[in-house]
Amino acid sequence: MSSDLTRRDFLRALPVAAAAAACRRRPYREQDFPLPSRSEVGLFAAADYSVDLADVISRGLNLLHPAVRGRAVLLKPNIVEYDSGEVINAHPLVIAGAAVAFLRAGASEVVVAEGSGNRRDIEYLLTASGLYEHLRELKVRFVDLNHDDAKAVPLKSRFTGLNELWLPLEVLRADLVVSVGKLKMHHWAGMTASMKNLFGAVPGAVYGWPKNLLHFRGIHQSILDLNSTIKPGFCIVDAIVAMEGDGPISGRGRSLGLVAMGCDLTAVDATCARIIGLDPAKLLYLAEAAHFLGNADEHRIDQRAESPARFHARLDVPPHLEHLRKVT
Amino acid sequence: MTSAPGHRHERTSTTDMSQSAILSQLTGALLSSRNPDGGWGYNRGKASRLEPTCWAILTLLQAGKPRDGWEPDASFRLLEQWQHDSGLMADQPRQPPNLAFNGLAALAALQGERRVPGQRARLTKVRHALLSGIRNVAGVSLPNSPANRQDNTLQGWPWIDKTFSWVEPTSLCLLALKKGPSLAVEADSIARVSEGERLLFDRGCRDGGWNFGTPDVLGVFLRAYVPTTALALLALQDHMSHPVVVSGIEFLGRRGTSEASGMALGLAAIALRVHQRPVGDVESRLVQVASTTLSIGNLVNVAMAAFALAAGERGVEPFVL
Repeated sequence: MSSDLTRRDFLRALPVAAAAAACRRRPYREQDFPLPSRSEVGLFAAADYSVDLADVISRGLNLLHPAVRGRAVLLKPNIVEYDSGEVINAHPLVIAGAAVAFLRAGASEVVVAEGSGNRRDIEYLLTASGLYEHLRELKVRFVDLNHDDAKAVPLKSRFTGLNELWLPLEVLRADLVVSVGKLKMHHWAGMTASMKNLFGAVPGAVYGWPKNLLHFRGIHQSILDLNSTIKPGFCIVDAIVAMEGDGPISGRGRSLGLVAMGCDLTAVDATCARIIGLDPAKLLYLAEAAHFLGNADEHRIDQRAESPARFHARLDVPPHLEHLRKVT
Repeated sequence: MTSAPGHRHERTSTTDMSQSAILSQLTGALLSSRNPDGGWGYNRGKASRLEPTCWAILTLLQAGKPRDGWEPDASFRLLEQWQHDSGLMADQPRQPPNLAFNGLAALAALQGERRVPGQRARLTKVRHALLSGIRNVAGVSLPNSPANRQDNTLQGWPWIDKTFSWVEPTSLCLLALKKGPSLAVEADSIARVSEGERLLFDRGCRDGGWNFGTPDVLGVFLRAYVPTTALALLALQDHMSHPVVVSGIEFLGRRGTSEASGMALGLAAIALRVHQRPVGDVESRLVQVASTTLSIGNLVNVAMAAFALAAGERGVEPFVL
C-alpha cells in the first residue's frame, strides 16, 4: 500500500461500480450531509478503571451537550472477543458508566447493544467479561444485534457499491445511537476508535461471523457507509488503556488514561489518531469522512476539557502500517 | 439477549437443582416462546427465524412425544414457506440465504422424516431440495496471502453466497450432506464434501480446535473457540484418527468447560458424546449456568443446552453419522 494515500488512491480501491459512480460524483447526496463549521471534542483524564466513570462521562455530556433528554439511547460498545487480562473490548465499567450517565442526563431509556464480529456466543462474552453483572445490577437491557430482527435499509452513501444493508431494528428505532469504542491499532483499518466500531451493528445472523461481506466490499468503504446510514449522534472512546501493535485482538495494552467524547465521530477519531501518533489524513476512511461526515482538520476542532498534549503517546504500529505515522 | 438481565426470569440457584428439573425449565422456556406461525425467534417475542426454529425442532423432537400443544407440522410448514426455488431457505424475502442455517435445516428436516408420522415423503422432498441448494453454493476461492498460512483456494461453505468459506457453515453443510442421501450416488457431493473436509483440516488452530476459520494472522496464532470446535468435530466424526481431529478432541477435553454458556457447553457436550468421550464435567457446568442462559434468553442457546442435557437419555441422533 502506498505511503502517501490520497483520495485518488481511495477511489482506486473502491469496488468498480462505486468507483465509477464516485468518479462522476461523490457516492452520496451532498445535501444530506451538511458539514458542521466546527466540532467539539472532549478529552477527559481517567487514570484507570477505578475512577468514577459515570461522573467522567456525565461531565462530557454536560460539556458537549448531545440531545439526550427524553430520548431512547442505544449504546453500541466494542465487544469483539474475550481473553482475561487483554484489552480487546470497551471496558465493562466504561459501558456501565455510560449507561448511568445517559440515564442521569434524562434519557427515556438506555439499552446496550452489540453484535460481536468473530464470536457469536454473546452469552459467553457478556458473562466472561463481567458486563452481564453490571447491566443486571443497573437493570439495563442488552440487545444482541447479531440476532435482532433486521430490516433492509437503503444506504445513505454507496462507497461499498451496495444499495442496502440489513440492520437491526433496535438500531433503527433508537433516537440516539452512541458508539462506545475502544482505541486500538487495527491491522487492516489502521486504527479503530468510534467509527470502525459500527461494524458490530451489522447482524451476523444475516451476514455471518465475521461479517465477511463488509471485508469483501472494503473495510474503509464499509465504515463510511455504516456511519453515513446509522448516523451515531455521540461517541465515547475508551483509551484509558488503549491497544498498540497487532490490534484489534492480538496487540498489547498501553495506558493513556483518556476518555474521548464528542458528537462528531470523525473529529473524535481524528483527534485520537493524532494523540497516538497517526496522521488522520492517511487513514482512508477518516480522510474521506472529512469530506462529508465531520471535521478531521484540527483547525476546525475545538478541544474541550484537557489538552491533547496531555495524552500524546506514540503507539507501536505493525510494520505494514508505519506509513500511517504522523510526520513530526 | 433481547432481554433485561434480571427482569424476565427469576434467578434461581441451579446448584441444588437436579439436571432433570433444569431440563424441564429449558424445554418449558422453549415451548412457551414459540410463535403462532410455528416458528421461534432468537428471543421470546421476536419474529420467527430459521436457526432458532431448527434448533427448537431438533430439541423438541428429541424430547419425544410433542407436548404443550406443539405441532411439528406447523413448524415444518414454516420451513417450507421459507424455501426458495434454489432449494435454500431464507426467513425474510430478499434476505440472502444463510448456508450454516440451511445445513441445520437439513438436519431438522431429516429428524422430521424420522419422527413425525405421515410427513416422511414431504420432508424428504424439502431436504433433498435443501441439499441441492447447499451443493450449488461454494465459498469464494482467493489467492493465498502472505497475511496467513492457510490455503485460501479451498472452497467450503460461506455464510452467504459470494463470500469466503468459514468453519461454522462448512461444518453444518458437511454434516447435512454426509447424512444423506447416500453420497455414493452423488458424485458432485463427494467432491464438495472432500474439499470441505480439506478446508477444515487446513483451518485447525495450532493448539487444537477451530475458531471462526482463521488460525493465524500476520504471524500470530489465534486461539480456538469451543462452539466452532464442537461443530467441526461433528462434521469430521468419520475422520477420528486424523491428527487435526485428534488435536481438536484434545482441545475440547481440555477446554470444554472454559466458555460458560448454553451454546459453548451444549455443543461441547454433544460433540464429546458423538466422539464417545466423557461429558460429565461439561454437563455439570451446563446445569450451573442454565439460569443465566435462560435469563439472557437466546433461544438457540436454550435449545442447545436442553438438547445436550437430554442427550444422555435420548441420544444425539441428529448429529451422528
